[in-house]
Amino acid sequence: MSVALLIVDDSGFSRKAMLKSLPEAWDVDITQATNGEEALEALRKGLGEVVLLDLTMPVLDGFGVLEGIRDEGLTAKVVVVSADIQPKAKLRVITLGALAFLQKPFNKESLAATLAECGVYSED
Amino acid sequence: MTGALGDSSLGFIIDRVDVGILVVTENLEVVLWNRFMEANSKVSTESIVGNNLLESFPDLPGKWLEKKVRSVQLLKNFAFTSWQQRPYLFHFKHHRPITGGVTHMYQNCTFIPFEGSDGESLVCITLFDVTDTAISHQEVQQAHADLEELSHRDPLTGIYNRRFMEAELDKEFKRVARYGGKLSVLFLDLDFFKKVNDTYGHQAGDQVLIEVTQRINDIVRTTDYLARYGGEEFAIILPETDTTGGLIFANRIREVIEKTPVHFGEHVIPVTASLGLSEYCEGVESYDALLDQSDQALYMAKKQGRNRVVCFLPDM
Amino acid sequence: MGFTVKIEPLNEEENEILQEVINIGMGQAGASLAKLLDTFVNLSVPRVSWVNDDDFVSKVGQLVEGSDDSWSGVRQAFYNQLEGEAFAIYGANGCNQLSGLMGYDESEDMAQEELLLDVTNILIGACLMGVAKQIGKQLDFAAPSLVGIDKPIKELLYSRDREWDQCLLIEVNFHLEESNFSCHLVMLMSEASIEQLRSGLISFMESY
Repeated sequence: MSVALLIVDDSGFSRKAMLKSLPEAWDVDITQATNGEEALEALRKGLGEVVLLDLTMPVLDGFGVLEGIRDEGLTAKVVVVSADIQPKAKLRVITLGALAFLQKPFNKESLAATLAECGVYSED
Repeated sequence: MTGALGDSSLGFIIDRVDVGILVVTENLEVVLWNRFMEANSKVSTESIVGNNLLESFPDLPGKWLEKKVRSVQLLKNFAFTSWQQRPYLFHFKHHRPITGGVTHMYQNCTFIPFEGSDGESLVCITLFDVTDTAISHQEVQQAHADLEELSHRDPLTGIYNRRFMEAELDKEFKRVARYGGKLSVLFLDLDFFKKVNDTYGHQAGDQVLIEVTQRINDIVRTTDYLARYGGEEFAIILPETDTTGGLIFANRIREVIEKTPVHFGEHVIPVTASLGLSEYCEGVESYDALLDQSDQALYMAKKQGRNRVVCFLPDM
Repeated sequence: MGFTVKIEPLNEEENEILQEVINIGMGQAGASLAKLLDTFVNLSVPRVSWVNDDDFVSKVGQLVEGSDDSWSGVRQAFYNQLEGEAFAIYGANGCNQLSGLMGYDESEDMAQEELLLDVTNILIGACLMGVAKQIGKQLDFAAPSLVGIDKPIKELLYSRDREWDQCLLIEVNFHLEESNFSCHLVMLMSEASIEQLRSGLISFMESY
């Protein structure tokens, strides 16, 4: 059964890079969002079992999405993918319920490792 | 980068290059101290290596230096200091005993974090002698300031010139227009000045201008601006002054000029002046308009027979 | 601009990559600032745009207008495979608020100027080094110097004829937890650098 994957990033390039770097064997239905509001809408429709979430975005940022998930009681496994590499940012998203933090720039290997680490997808 | 040069050659170059080079640990223990540092500080390499930099140089800005070294190590980024903000790090003598003009060596410094061969965290500090640059910069700045001051002045009388006065009036005008307050402008023109020149010569005319300027200068407040507007015409900006105050002031000037003739050689030259005053009030659109009003008042003073003060009235 | 050959501006895709590369660079600059000040820095999306020399002053003026009358500016040259000049422009409040955070000795008259130079060096260094590293280009920096303190923006940016006419504007805001301060970074790059930038962006994209 395929997994509903939601990719949230304001940068078109970054979304493309994520799409290209996903494990090939992973069976996913992909939805894309360009800001936090769009992401929450997709989540309410059940389009995000797994979420790859950027932090720095216009309209509503990634912290806002995590708060929204918590406040609305939505269920989603969130991996934050961000250029904001402050230790406090990492701590903050984990406290808000994200499963893992992947630093930008990422690559196929670091993405696969992060997905495996939080048990979202493993190639074995 | 180093090509075929061995360690001893590199060591020689580091030692002899005409730049101060020192390396410190995060606790400011000195690891390297080159000949430039040795020669300028009179502290030998043998005696300082292995010791704390601040203990050897208690005059260094210790807290600042510790912070700087820590921050470049933490951020793994270069840092710079410039003589313009921090004239020197080490108080060294300058090398200009003959040419002089300074009391110390000006320095630009760079802080470069790096990892030692055992993985320890080190900072290389380089020190450039920029005394010559600093001096010529300061000379240029001083010349600039002198020129600017000169460009504000009238060469004969030494008081402000028209251009500077108008620029200041513009500022004062905007200030009262925005924040309220009082502002008056006084124009003064010497009566029959052409006759002074024709009768006694231009040197006498110049002497009259200089002495009249002195007499007015003795009366103006430090906040007023006295300027030679052109020829024998003067303008005085009177901030925080209304028509009543302006009239008192203008009449004092008129009286002093009338009572004190100018002596030139064996001649005693009587001088009088006509004055036009106007005060800023709402509706006056620009400083130009204010000047124009004072000018109209001055014209009336001339027309009514000279040696008098006239205040601008809207129906003039 | 004399005999210089007009270079092809970056296309939409290249600009999109550039935006992301700068995002990452700013992330690193923000992290450096956070470390230095020991506080949390909220990052905003940097606004990236190109202007040519003729529009330089007016565009930068528009970018910063409204918020403040007077600004302070610091310039810093960079060289090697990417070469050019970066300006950091700070509002009057921004740098006052930083003074306290940096723990400079208040009694020193020069503290504020030195602070501006330090912060600029850190921001420009971290941001540009971040960009250069991602696109595989070498970069070095000269010491920063003050352009002006508390001046109208036009006076700050006024200069003689510029040699290069492609100018990259990056607007970033750093919101500190204790206080707010925003900073605008403006970079002018040589034609040769823009070609280097392009080739680096393309190879960065191909790495995915």
